[in-house]
Amino acid sequence: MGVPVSDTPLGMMACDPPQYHDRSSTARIMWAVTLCLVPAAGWGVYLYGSRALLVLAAAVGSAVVCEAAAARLASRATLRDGSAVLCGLLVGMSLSPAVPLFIPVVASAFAILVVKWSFGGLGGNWMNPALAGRVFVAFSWPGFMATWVTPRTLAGVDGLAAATPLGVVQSAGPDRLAAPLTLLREAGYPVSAIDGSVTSWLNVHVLGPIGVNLPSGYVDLFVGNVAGSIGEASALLLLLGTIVLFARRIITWHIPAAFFIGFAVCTSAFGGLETEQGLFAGDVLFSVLTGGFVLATFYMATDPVTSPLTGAGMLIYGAGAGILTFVLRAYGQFPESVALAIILMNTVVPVIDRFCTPRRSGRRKTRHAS
Amino acid sequence: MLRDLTRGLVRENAVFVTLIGLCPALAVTTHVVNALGLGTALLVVLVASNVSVSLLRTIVAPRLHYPAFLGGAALFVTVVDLAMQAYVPELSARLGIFVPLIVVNCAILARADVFARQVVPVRAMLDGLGFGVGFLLSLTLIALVREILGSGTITLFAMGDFDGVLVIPRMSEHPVQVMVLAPGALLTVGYLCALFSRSRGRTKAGASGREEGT
Amino acid sequence: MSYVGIILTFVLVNNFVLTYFLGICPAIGASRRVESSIGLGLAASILMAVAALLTWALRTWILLPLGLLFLQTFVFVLSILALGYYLERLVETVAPALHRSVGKYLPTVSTNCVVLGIALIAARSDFGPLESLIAGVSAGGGFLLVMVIVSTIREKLETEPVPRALRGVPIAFITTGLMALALLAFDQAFLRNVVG
Repeated sequence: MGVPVSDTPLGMMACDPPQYHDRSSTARIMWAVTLCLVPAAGWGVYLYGSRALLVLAAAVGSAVVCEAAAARLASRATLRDGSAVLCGLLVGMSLSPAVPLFIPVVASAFAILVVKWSFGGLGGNWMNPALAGRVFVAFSWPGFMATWVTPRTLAGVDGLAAATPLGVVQSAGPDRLAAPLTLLREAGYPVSAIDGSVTSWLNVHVLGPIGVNLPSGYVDLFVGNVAGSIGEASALLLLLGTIVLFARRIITWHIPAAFFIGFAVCTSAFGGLETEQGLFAGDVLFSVLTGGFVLATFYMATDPVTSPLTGAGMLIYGAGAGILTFVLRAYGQFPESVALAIILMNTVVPVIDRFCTPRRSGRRKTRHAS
Repeated sequence: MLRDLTRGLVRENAVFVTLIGLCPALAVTTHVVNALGLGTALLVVLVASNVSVSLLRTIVAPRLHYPAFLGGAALFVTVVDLAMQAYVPELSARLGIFVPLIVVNCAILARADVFARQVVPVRAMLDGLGFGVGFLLSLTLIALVREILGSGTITLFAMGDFDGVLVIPRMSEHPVQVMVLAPGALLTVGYLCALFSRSRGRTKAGASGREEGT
Repeated sequence: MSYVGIILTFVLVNNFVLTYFLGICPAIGASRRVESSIGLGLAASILMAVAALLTWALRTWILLPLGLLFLQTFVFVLSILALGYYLERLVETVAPALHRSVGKYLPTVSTNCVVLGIALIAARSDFGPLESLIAGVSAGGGFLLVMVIVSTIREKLETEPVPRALRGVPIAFITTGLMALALLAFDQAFLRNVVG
């Protein structure tokens, strides 16, 4: 951002947000991330039709209008930096396609006006706006947020409940004695033909030789043949987008890796306890491929404004978010809590930075993330 | 003399300007009736405490001021608490520990310390009245915002056929439930504070909200 | 309630500052320096732990047998005030260094609602002595946690271009409001699921 003194109505120097060296590079990053998300969002529109497109449009439109209004009040021009569009897109992608349209509008408005512009716009906010907006509407209208639609690819399957995999697991309750995938089959989720052929090919040619047998069902979760939020279905398309993020050094490995390890260790160690399978029996693959895990770890937790500055800080932050995601998914009220885990960790980022900056450099951040 | 009365209403409004006595302002404002009840209780205790402090100002040794102020306030609070339990038991139960907590409400101690122990009883009473009414109005305002947005209702006292709850037609169908939860209280007070200091700043330059702890 | 349940309740689920709003004045008003926030938070935690135990003793051994329970508020307030005063004197003579960083806040904290709050809550919940002590320590720990986080965020915010109308107190409230939003993750349902 790097706002020059004369540009701010407040007559004070704005602090450079980490990694954002000037306005044009901020804009490049924002638009690049937005483009990386488009395939996954497009898949959501394919699965749920025009309704999903409307939700996305409402979220992005509301974010852009609020950004324009706030920027005008602050006498700044920030619309072209792309952060509002990205924020709106992330909000829309994390919502169910069945929500009434006022929900994406309110979520984006809360994100932009309360979480971001109350603190002076991009770089001033300490909490991820898109996630906070999503959490705000989740607690305000829990009923709407738990209504799901059967995706096009599964339409016509007999007895299939319109529920997300994580919802199926949670509603099975603490007394369930079956593994998550079994519960999914019981809820009526079929194994698609693609899943069958890909799984058997993998088992014969790739995993078989190293002595691993992949049960069928995971490939469906991986490619996104599953009910859920608009943009969270396809781990495959989201991961394809991250190739660009890594190649252009927009994000580093620290946060996603620590996030995954923290979450995977907890899940594999304790995830099987509820089903009385004992320690180290949790289904990591299922837990990682369902809900918003991939979208959140790569696209939201890595937000440079609201994550720590140093590599060590990022590892603490990522691991903390991973552990909290497991705890909240297992014991919290919502089936999917990755958003809550990240905004909880956002609150301690300034504390992490205080302890993880090698030399106390006073008020101004002088180090950029590695 | 008149300034003693008006001081606490706007210029040094306890909730939005000097930021004292906030705990109840946030906790009980989920319903308007709670705000009215607690505001009235605080008003009574504040006036009584101010008058008694003023009456005792020459008798009590300075080093015993705090125990005396607090002891006096505790007695008045006990009386108000017992009276509420007897006459409005339902409201008293909803307010819970926040009625006894009026004792350590910073507003009581602050007015006793800053003002009441230096002036004659009449001025102390007017000051208590001003601050108490200012507090009551602020509390009601916060509760109105939170309850209308968060529940789509306005809860008042039940009288005759009226069950005490005004329902706002469209708002009550899908209210913003977060507003009656904890974050709603903090956000409401934050933005109301900003509005308050902004409108005050127009009439009095440079005033942007003093900060006082404890 | 189990001890784990009490700890979770007072640190996270019913955090004093973020759900009961007790001690919000110091969290908002005095929290611009991290060091002083830690001192104040620690002083409050110590006093809350001792006060919870002391008021349990007063209630069980004096007020209940004598049938003077209606004087509870009065007795609690004055005993906590005296406790703060004598604890400060004790710290001053025993550990002068500790007094400079933490002890000097004890008298201030003794008139704050966090201490009377934990005493009243422990009394209303009919906690035993050990439960009261644990509740006091946990509530104090939760208070300290929020004080440290809020003051660290506010130190960071001093360099951000916060709009003029929101600077100072309003932004502190909005900051704690967003923290409270995140903390909604730990609600009664969470507590039930963990402790059963």
